[in-house]
Amino acid sequence: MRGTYWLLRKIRATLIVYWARALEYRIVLLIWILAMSVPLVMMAVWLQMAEKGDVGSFSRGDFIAYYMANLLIVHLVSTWHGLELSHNIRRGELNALLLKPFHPLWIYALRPLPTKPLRIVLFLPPMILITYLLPDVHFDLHPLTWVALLASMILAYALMFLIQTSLALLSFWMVQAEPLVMIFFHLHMLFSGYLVPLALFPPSWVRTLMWLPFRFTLSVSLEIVTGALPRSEWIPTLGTGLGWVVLFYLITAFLWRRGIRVYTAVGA
Amino acid sequence: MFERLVHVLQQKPGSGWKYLRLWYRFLQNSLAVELEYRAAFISELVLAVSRLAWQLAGIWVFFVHRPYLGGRWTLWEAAIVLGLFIFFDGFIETFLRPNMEAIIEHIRLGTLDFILLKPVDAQFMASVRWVRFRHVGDMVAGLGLMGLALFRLHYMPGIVGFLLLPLMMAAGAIILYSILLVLVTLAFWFIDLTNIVELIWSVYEAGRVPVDAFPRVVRVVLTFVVPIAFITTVPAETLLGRISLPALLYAIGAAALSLGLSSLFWRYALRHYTSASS
Repeated sequence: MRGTYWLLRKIRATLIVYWARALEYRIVLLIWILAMSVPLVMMAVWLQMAEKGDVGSFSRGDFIAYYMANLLIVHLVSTWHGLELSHNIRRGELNALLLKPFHPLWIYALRPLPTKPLRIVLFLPPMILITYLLPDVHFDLHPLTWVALLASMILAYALMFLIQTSLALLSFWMVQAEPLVMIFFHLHMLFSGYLVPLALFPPSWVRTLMWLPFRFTLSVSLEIVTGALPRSEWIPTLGTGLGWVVLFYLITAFLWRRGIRVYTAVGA
Repeated sequence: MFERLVHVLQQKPGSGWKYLRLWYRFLQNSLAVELEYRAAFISELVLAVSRLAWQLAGIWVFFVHRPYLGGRWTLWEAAIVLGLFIFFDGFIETFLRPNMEAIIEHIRLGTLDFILLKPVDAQFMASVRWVRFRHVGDMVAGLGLMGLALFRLHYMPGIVGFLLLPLMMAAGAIILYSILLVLVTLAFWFIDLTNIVELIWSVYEAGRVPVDAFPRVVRVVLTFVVPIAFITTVPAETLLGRISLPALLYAIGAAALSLGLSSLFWRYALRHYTSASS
């Protein structure tokens, strides 16, 4: 009980510190958000293709809804700490975090969170506007959907964090773990639904992609909010996502325990 | 007036030689710096392949649903555009970005004076001082993809195509350079510019597909406002032998115009540089 109380206090303190930092760099943040334009490029191409009839199961309105949701949600569920963590281990900069009375991985996990509200403030108004202005753009905004969406986003963030962390922790043994994290980013862009909706891959691919962890780092949330995922599938899908989270949690915990023993604190 | 002209004419050949030699030294120096980070160099090569793979797959998904992109581009024709996109991505990272970052930093710290005092043209120093060789992998990967695409198309460009391609690519490179020079120059007035630059990279992203694949409005913007079309689509058309003479002349004109305007802007900014560091 007492342990939980202290954990919550520490979480709160960390969030406050990084909230202050997020406010300080708000312009930088704004620009970083605007700079991610690849999904917009993809959307523009799909829209032109859909002028002559639906593409797969997607109409023009579906594409707009999908990519609008994508622009907002990808920022809410993403973290890019993998490169930094790997770097910090290799250069021995992890020492400073190890001295804190809080598990370093908690700090990495909490740090991106305070920037998230800023993104909602920026993206939600234009999204609502577009939804009302364009007649055939539909979101599923049932209260139950919000619950499922929130659950899927928490899973997505946890999974994104744990996969990157487990790759970055290999830096305890390897000099060059950063390329592994980069390759994960490349695979993630392609197979998470960030670039193209997973449903538009060829059917044989879709069957595999439905089960790979990438889908649960983003696509599931988009499928829920655009109404593409039937309600009866919510529980099994979220369950599978939870399975991946547990698996990568175990891997991360294992690697951390082994790694911290071989860590020489001076960098490789 | 006449005397000055004679002076310039006498100077010209010698100074051109000087600049070439200087550039050779810069290359050597940059390579020496790069060789300190050999492991990074190797992993950049691996990443170049990985980057190429996801980008190609991203384009390929369009062709699962339609035989043509933008009404006439087949998969491997579009792959030529993507190859050029990746090539110029590497070109930016290798040749343009390191210099750009260095100059913005010089302006911010007030150390630009050291460059201005050197007996060389400041724009030359600002543009070619650094080369980040580790990103050459992307340039090679881009050219490789173009070669693969031609092979898959069973298409052999005529001699004209092969001669015009470097010309069109040079025009594209000049347009890129000019856009970036204008951005760097803005740093004389706005100190923290690094992030604005990120914003411009995001416009460049549109170059990964042929401009015909975009809705009309976007196409017009990418051709006339931010001429991204000339960097990837036009050279690809050239290689495929379907560029018209007016388009060709327009590309060269656009390159010349943007180079001229951006250089003028750079000089204007230099005249107003007060060297007071922040």
